[in-house]
Amino acid sequence: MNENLIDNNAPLLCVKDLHKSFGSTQVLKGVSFDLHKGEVLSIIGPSGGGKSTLLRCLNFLETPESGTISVGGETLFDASAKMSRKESDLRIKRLHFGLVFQSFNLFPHFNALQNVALAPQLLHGGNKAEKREAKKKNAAVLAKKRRELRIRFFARWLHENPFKLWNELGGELNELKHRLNAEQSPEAAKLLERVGLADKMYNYPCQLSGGQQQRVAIARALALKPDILCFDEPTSALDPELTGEVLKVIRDLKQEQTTMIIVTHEMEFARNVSDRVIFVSGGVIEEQGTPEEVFGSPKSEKTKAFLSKMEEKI
Amino acid sequence: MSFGEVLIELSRGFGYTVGLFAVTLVAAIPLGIIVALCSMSKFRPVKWVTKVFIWVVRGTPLLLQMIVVSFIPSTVMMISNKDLANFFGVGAEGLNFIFVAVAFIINYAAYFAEIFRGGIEGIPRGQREAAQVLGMKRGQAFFLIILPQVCKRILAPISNEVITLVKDTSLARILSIAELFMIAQRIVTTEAIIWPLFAAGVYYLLFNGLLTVLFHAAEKKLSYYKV
Repeated sequence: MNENLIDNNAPLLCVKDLHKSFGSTQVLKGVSFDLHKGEVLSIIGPSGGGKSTLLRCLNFLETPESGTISVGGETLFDASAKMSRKESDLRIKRLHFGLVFQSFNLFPHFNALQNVALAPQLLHGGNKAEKREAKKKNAAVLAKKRRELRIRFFARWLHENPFKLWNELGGELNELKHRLNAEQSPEAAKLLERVGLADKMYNYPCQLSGGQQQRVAIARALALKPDILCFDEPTSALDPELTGEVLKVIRDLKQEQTTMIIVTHEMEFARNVSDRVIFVSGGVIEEQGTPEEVFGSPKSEKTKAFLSKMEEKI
Repeated sequence: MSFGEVLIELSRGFGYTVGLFAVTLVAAIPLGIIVALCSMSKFRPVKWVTKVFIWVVRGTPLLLQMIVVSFIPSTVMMISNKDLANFFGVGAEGLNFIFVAVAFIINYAAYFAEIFRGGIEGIPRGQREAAQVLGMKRGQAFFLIILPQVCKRILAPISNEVITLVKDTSLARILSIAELFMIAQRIVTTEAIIWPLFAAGVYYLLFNGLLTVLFHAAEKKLSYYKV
């Protein structure tokens, strides 16, 4: 979104001294970090340490009590300054970030393609007259097809099982509908192909496995071309045999230089995929560095204890 | 009175029944959504006023509410019923129908509101958050994401209320609306025959049967996804 980054060495994302508490529990006690364009940052740490809250603050789902968040030099949030916190302003600021949830949160009443295509349609909308024109054209095509199918039905319904025939012709009509939909949102279709779901475009979330749903969710988050893509434990709700397909998509995204923040419990994955690792515990950053530094030779006692506990599990 | 004449009379009464039913449904559903949203408002006074309203309306008999509504203009607002009838351009009977309809709409809006509130609060928070993160406006999120899912969830409880509404229309006779049951009772007393009462029962039964079929069809239509 911000193409006008003059200084290439300046970080894309700057988070300074973030504080957040729920009631009397302090969840974040001053978190600061930077992120450069194209970097992949993993956030690890024990449950309840504030990892998810940190991501939710970045996406303005929670409002921090103090601290600043800036992207590409633009200050999006500054608790000390008198900034508008109206929903309508936050809405625009959120678009710098994409968020993939632990529980996918796909819209169950839309199929995969609609899930991906909806947000860009609402945001960019396009020309209203053009849209109406396209709608009219599609309606005409559909009407023609309906007529044709009706003729075919009445020509054959006495000779074959009429129920079967009806279903068969209905399926043909649905196929056409789907094709027209895909033609209307080619970018969404392309994104679904990218996450390997070209053949599941018209399936509803309840017809998809957890891994497939999460891949649709990733495509949906990518559809708005966010500067930074955030993952909130993307594989925690998945069966172990399904985590691989999601992690592969994230690896592919790294190949394409996507800037990402990943909250995860997959230590092996964090070690392989990330450029930098942050260990968050008790609302503060205990340790940060390259994966080799954090995983190979952790300095903080808490990090050591956490990592050895994770190893025990394996 | 012959069999045919009785049926014609009953059908005339059934017209009022269906009319009251339709008016109540069309007005009470949108009003119910508004009341539901108010009862979930973050602004405390609105929330509490709405909660008290729902408590009173659900906690008192519909019969009493109809009587209260019919007395309010003449006693509280000091407008005679004649003037009011002239204002609406209806006769005394038409005015009574308006009173009844208003009472029904208020009553059913309160019940619908609670159903809607349950439905809206039952949608996982993640749905709204996903919509927010995707840059949707509040209205877009509500009408495109939340409401369709709410509709599917509340279909069964709404069908209960709607069927109750059909039978509740028989209360309208307290303000001398000539609806189905009142007509049936009148025939029973004047003609000294009992069967028109059962015939009226058949009318209700058939109408509710039709509604049941419609609700089943709607449920089937929405069964392509799970919430």
